[in-house]
Amino acid sequence: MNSEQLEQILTDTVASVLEEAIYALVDRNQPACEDEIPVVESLIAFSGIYTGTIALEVETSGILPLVNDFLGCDPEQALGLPQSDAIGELANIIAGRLLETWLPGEPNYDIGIPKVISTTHGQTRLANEPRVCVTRLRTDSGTRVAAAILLGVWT
Amino acid sequence: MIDKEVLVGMIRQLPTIPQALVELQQALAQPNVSIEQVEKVIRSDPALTGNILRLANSAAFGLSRKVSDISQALTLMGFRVVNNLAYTAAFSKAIPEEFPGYRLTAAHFLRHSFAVGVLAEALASALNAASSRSHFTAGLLHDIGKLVLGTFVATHDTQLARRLESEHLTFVQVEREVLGVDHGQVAAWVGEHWQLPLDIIAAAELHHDPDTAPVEFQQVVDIVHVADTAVHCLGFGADLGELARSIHKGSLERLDLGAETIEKVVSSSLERLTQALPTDNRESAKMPKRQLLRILVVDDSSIIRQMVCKSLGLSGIAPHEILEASDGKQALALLRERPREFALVLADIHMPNMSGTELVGEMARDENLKRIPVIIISSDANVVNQQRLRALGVRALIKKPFRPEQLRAVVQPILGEEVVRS
Repeated sequence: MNSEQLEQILTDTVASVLEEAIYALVDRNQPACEDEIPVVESLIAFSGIYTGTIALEVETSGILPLVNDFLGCDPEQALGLPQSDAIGELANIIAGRLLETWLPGEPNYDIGIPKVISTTHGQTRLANEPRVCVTRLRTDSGTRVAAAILLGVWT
Repeated sequence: MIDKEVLVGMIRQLPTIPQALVELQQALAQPNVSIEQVEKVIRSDPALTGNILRLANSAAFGLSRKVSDISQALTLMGFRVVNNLAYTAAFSKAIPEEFPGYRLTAAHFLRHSFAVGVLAEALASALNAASSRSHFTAGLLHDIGKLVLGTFVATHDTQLARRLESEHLTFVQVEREVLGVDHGQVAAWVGEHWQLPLDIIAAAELHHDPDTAPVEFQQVVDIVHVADTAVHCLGFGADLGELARSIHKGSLERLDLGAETIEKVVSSSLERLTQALPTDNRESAKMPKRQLLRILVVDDSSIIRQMVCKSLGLSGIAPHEILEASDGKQALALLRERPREFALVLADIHMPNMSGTELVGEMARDENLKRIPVIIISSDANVVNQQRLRALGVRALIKKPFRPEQLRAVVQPILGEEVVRS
């Protein structure tokens, strides 16, 4: 599988999970954001025939509506919830589905527990690295979302 | 198998429908009937008159002023509502003290029947259904078969439970298999004995099989089926036999009914549904309380725990008690503290301290916990993990993201078995 095919799988996976989990329609192939914007990033390590990390970044200002839609609750209810948790869970769902599509029938892999951080320097900005595959999307409510597969061990 | 003659004999022993109620139906069927004529019919039966007035002044029918005579009730409430009151009053007198077979009290049974009547009428009104007068009555009387069949369900309890455990059958299917008849069929015989209108008999007979209704009664059968299922989901008098239920797709299509309309009708009727009933003085305190089952939701993400709990609520699982744990270790401690009280564990796989796989392994090795069914909810699609979990006895694997109806389809049959077991 070449990097374009892997990127396509990543884009399709993220788009389908956002559609199913938060009922968002997405615009694909968005340009990289030039300014540094605050994001919440979730990282999930995986190991098996490939080892690496799957990253999901959501711009901080878009998290509250995303939690509303994820849980189907009122904005006031969502405010009282650990919102970063929702990003961790979305990353978890994306990771599970991505590995299933990328490595179909492959029994020898494992995925870790999501680690969620707030940052303005997300891992997905390392787009020029040869071991990185990145996709950038925007939901119909305008929230920027990026996801990446970072092959190898990243620290 | 039950001998039909025995059932017919029992039906004959049921209290009869008051003659005044039969005459009331005949009077209301006339196009230009007057208030005086209807009043005369009702007043010919003092007990029925008294019960109608008592109901008219109850919170369930929500009048802002006290009604002191039938003429006033007819003026303020109209023929349709007074007819509903007459049926409710007559029906409440026919209900036995207990329904041991269905593990229902008289209060629960009446509360459920009344709620189905209210919702059926509201649905009929929202759908502009013809003759919405009979929808309340059809809903109210839909379970009359249970008045007779409950005794037999109680005496065949073990057989019914065994069939429910061994296969994914609905309770109505098991009734047919074990007893040779279901409560819908018995309802038709009771309806004939009571000389009920044919549409009401059809709704009582076919509310579990709406696709088989004759075309002239299709709408009322579909409406009662939807109302009955929705009322069960709301937890009004859910009984042993009715846990594994969902609305027939055919009914929704024929009625052109979407989730939004159902939700709107239910929410607009909710206040009335929660008003005080039962209507008689057989206090429910004497009756054994329905046992609440405990469900444990285990996930390190509080968002997912909330989502599962909310989905269980939307699925009509809310009457059961739901507890939460954030990892396998915490879950195990809770389970070991009160092992007999848990009916189901819903767990994630990847969690800190102790994973879902380790939790299932620990439970399988523990004599007190190995009987508790476990459902895994995870995004992990690893086939080896799934096989390992199945080998450890996990009942089902649900993939994230999931929808409430997916959860219900898996959870309700398992809880049905647990109710029987407990």
